[in-house]
Amino acid sequence: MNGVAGGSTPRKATFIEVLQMVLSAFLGIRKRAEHEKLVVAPLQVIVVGVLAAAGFVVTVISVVRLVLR
Amino acid sequence: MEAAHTHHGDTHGHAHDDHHGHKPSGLMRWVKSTNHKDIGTMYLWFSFTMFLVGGVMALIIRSELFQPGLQIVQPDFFNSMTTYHGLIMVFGAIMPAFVGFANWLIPMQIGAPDMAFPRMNNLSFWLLPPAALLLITAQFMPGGGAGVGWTMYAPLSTQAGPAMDLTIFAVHILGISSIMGSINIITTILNMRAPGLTLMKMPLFCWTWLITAYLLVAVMPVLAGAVTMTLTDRHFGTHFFNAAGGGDPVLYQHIFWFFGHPEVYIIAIPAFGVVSQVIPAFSRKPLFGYASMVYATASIAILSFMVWAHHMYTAGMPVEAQLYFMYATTLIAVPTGVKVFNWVATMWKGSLTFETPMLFALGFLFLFTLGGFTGLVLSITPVDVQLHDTYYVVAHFHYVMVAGALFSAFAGIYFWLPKWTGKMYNESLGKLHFWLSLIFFNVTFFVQHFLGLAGMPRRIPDYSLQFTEFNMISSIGAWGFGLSQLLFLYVVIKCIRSGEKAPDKPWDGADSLEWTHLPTPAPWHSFETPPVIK
Repeated sequence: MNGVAGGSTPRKATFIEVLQMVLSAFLGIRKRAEHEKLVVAPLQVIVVGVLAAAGFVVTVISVVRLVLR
Repeated sequence: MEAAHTHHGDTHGHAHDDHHGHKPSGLMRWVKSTNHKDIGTMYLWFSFTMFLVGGVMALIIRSELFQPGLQIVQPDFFNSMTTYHGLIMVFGAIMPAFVGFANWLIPMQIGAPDMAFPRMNNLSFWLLPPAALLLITAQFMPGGGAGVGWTMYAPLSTQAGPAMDLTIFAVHILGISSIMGSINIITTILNMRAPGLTLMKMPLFCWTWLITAYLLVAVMPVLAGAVTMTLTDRHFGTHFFNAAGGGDPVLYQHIFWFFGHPEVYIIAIPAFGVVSQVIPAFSRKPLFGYASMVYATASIAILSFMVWAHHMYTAGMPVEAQLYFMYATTLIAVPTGVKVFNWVATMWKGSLTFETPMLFALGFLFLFTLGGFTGLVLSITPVDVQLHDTYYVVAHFHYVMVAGALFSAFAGIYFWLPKWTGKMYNESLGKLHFWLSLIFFNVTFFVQHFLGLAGMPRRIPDYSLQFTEFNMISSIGAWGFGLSQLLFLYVVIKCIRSGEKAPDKPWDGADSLEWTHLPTPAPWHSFETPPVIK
């Protein structure tokens, strides 16, 4: 699989940056320039994506608990 | 990359006999075909045939519902019609139509010679006709077709006649076909892109299919599990869904909808992909927010796994669960809204023209959004408790399935027909097909919102007198819509037989590889040497 190729030398993404990327995906909004700045391994996205999805479920459940208290 | 290289050799190996200027011909061309275009064509014709079969069933339903009382069919047969209309339209018409698009377009759009596994591609297709035959012959089993609804809920499905076994087997076969098709699509997209064509440079149609293929691989086994458990409950003494034996019929609903909700997106996401190719082409602007579109599509796919029980609010669940599924479901509207915004923004200040593909894409945009909004209404638990299993739900999902998926498929067919056949369709007739479809679609289904709000239940052959007027309007609309599709068949056949020769690029705004790098009609092998993408 090809990596992500960008114009200017892209650098490896940190955990926080991958998290930001996944969260912006949840919203569905992402600038192309932001995307092209970073090199992200597919495994990174999958791991962080699964974590963030679990986080999403936990957050919604917490809100439900809060509402029902 | 290893697999792709090995495979590349293979494609050339078995295809060498048609390098000498002749294609395989006759019936065997189709039976033994490993060519992605021929297989794509077969998928599209198969799905249109099934569309007509499912459409006839719809017309039987609507004719019976023209007036209250029983006029034309008996209740058992009516139930069988609603069941097989749903199964055939979902699994036999809409899904194969988009697989047909995938077959035709993905190799051309990524600069590949063919699909990654051409022989498996052939098998994926040829599994479909036997499955369709099973669904149709189920009508003639003792006791008639299984009137269990397309969702095949237990305990109805565990108690239905032998037609149910044919239906289960058909679902198994269709699932295998879908999984093989998906493996092929994923491998093709990940391994066979032209040099320089990174994932984020692919046309959005390829992205939507990559994501859809992963969804299919994830949920088709779940459906297979659900119907297999139904089968063993029926014949092998298990009690998965039988409360008397310690099982739970609600378990079936959870498993089914864990498949069923992502299935909605399996149908909708490739439709998003087609529309995302058509709207920029007729706006003469690149797609607004390409990266956002990719991310939003992925997000919708992931969220689609977390909202299944919103189909089951009335089945009995704790209030915590109702609230969770309600909140999660309403949140899915956010990435979907982003996509609608992006399509509108693509058209903003564009040089718009309104040829038939664009008209269907706009029809999709308006009506799919409407279907999305009624979905939001239904996601609110207390509202759904009122509207569950009424015609409001029927109206809602037909806005998503017909005005969403089917209109987008029509947009795609008119858009790529010149590339596929080398000939132009008749623009006036195409536009007439659009307007007839748009008007009759709304005549059929808009009034069903009112019927549902007034309390008319779905899946019944008879109804109370106060529902008569709207049912008559809806039935007239259904016949109009059905007959309008014969015009579509005529337009396509006329195009193939006597259309004017199409230029290489009939749409000035189209910018993917099949338009910019390939002649019209597309050659037998798409890219024997891959194009280099800067």
